[in-house]
Amino acid sequence: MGKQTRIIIIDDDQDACELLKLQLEDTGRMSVSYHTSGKEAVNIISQKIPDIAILDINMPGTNGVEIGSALSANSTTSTIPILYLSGMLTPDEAEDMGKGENNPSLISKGSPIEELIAAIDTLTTT
Amino acid sequence: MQPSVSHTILVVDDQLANLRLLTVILGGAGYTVITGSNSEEALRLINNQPPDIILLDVMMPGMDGFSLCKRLKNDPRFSDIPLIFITSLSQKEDIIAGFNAGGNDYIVKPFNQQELLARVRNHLHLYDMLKENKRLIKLSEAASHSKTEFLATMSHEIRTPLNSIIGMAEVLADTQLTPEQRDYVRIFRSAGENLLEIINDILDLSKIEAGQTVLEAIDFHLPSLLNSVLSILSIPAAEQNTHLSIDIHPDIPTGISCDSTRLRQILINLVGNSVKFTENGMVRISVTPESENKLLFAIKDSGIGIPKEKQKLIFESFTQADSLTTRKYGGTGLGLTICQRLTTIMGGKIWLKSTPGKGSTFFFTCNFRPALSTPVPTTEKTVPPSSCAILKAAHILLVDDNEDNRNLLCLYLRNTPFTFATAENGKEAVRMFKHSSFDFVFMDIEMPIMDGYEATRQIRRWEQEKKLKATPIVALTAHAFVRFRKKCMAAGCAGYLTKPVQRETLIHSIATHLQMDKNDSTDGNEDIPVQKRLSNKVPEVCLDPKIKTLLPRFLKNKRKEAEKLFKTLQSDDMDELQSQSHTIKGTCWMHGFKELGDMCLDLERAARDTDRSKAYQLATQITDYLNNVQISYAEEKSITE
Repeated sequence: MGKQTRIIIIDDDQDACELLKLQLEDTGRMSVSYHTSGKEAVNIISQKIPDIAILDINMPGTNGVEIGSALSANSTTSTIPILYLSGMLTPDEAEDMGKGENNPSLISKGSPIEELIAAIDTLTTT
Repeated sequence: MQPSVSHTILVVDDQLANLRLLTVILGGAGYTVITGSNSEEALRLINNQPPDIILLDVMMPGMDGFSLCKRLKNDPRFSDIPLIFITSLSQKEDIIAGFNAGGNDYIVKPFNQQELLARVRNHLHLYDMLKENKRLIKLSEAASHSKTEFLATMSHEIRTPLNSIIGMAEVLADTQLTPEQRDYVRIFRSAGENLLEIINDILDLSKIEAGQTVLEAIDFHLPSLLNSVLSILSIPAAEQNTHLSIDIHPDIPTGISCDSTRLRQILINLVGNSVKFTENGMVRISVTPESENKLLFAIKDSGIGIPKEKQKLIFESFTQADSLTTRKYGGTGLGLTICQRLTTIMGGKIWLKSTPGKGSTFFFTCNFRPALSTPVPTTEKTVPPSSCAILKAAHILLVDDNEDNRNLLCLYLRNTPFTFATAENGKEAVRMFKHSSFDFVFMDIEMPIMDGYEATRQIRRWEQEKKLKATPIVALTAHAFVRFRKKCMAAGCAGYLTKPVQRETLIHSIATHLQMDKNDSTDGNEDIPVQKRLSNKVPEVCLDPKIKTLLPRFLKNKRKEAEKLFKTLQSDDMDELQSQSHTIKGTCWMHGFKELGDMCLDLERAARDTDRSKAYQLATQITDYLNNVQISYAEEKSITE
């Protein structure tokens, strides 16, 4: 068994976090921690330096795109791959995301878990 | 009696010594004393701050005391302030002159200190009472002035939310409920209906007492009217196992003329009352001629009867035989008061004979004359609305400025074959009416921008121009006053419903106006029996068994969030609603609740488009889904895959 992929999920919906944790850890090769507030997200991610950060776009307060931008701007975190989770793509969200330098990927919350796992694998192996 | 500290006394005298003496005496008794040394200064002081009493010297340089007094008594601002002359002029003529000038009292110097204080105290007391009386008169004038206005407003304002309460209870009763919940819903629904009944009674009584009730003489068929009263009360009578009957004296013409609406109201009240207090017995209405132009009605029951000492009281407002009666039998205690007032204005009177344990007979008389025309018997439709009606598809326009009302109407039409669109005001309604073809319109009357009367008139005009058949427009308003009904009809409405309107009534109204009955159904495919519309499909979902452990919390959280959707809807925050439904949607999809997630997506879009009625519908659907969903799990092998 290879090294575990360490994942941090930031999503204000705890149910969503719990579900992803369960589903991703079920693969046996991922370990997941999550936070439901966008406020402390940048700090936590800079301390833990996960292999990938999964950010929900639509959150009250600090949203996913703002967290992503902050991570990209910080030299210690700029190399962390970011995967955005969205309930629905709006043009604004898409445009904002183009600004990220981590070549972020975006996946819809409606996508099957397999797609999410594949996206994580792609982002963490390149 | 201690003088009130708040009383201010103005003392006017040109002699400084007098001023000092009076200041010491009055100040010592606890009054606030201000002084003026001549009439001009006094006027200035009074204008500045009117005192509670004035002690006035007569002989002063410049304007004398009598002149000042006359001037003050002619000024409505100051004429009520008590004024006491205090002077050395002791002649009878002087004293008379003082009172003629308008003075309230006259004290001759040298005065006795106790007497002076007693007189001051008396006048202040009278002045206080005068002020209080004037205040009360003003209040009661204002109250009586606004009473009519208040009634109309109250009628409207109370009925509107009550409409929502009763309506929502009705809708709730149609959802899947446990027996316990069903019982709770029944209680709050009947409490709402009870409240409505009370409001109607109070309004009715107030209108009669305000002299607003105008009698109309209408030719009608008396046996038909009595039959209709009986048919209305046949259900409660059957529940009480009580037999109803009618007996009309052969000398009475079948066609008579009087205010049939009021007569009917009295009869329903009295017969209803008798039925309420009679179990396993009989209630009999008999009509006999009292005189050439008076009818005598007697409503005899075999019920519990009324104790002698209570018999006089029961026609007074809010009294039943005792408070226990109210608790046991319900009712407002206003019905008989209304009957009494109504019989009085109809030129009759009302009384009763009763023996406790054996029953009561209520008698009343009313003026009438034989009908000029020959009214034909009318048969009331006694079939409960929609009990077996077959509804056909129809497109309905719902016009109401109140969002709650629109939502309620939409909910009422849910699960019927009717499709609908909503408009918030008359202008929007007219525009929508011209652009799509509606089969039926429910039109609120009081609306901003353009009211229902004008909208109805414009629609009618447009239909005439286009040579179209008149679409049924039914006015829907919280106003219970007859004048509104007449105005609606004059504007071109085909019918009139008073809010709160019940679902059955609403659907019945559509069915009646679109003449949907069994014989009329032409297209079998579109026919949906009313009863069937209530059976909701139970939502089902098949999930990944791996997430089983997460589900209890997931469902609990989502139910809570769905509740929040309604709160947000109520506060009309569409941005927040959009964001809330967006969040719920994502998690639902992730968990495998595809259908539920899609509903949330629709809700998100409805919120974006500020389509409130659709949003309301969807929020309700989402809640229903969460409360009723049956979860199954995919094959176990999927775990090992």
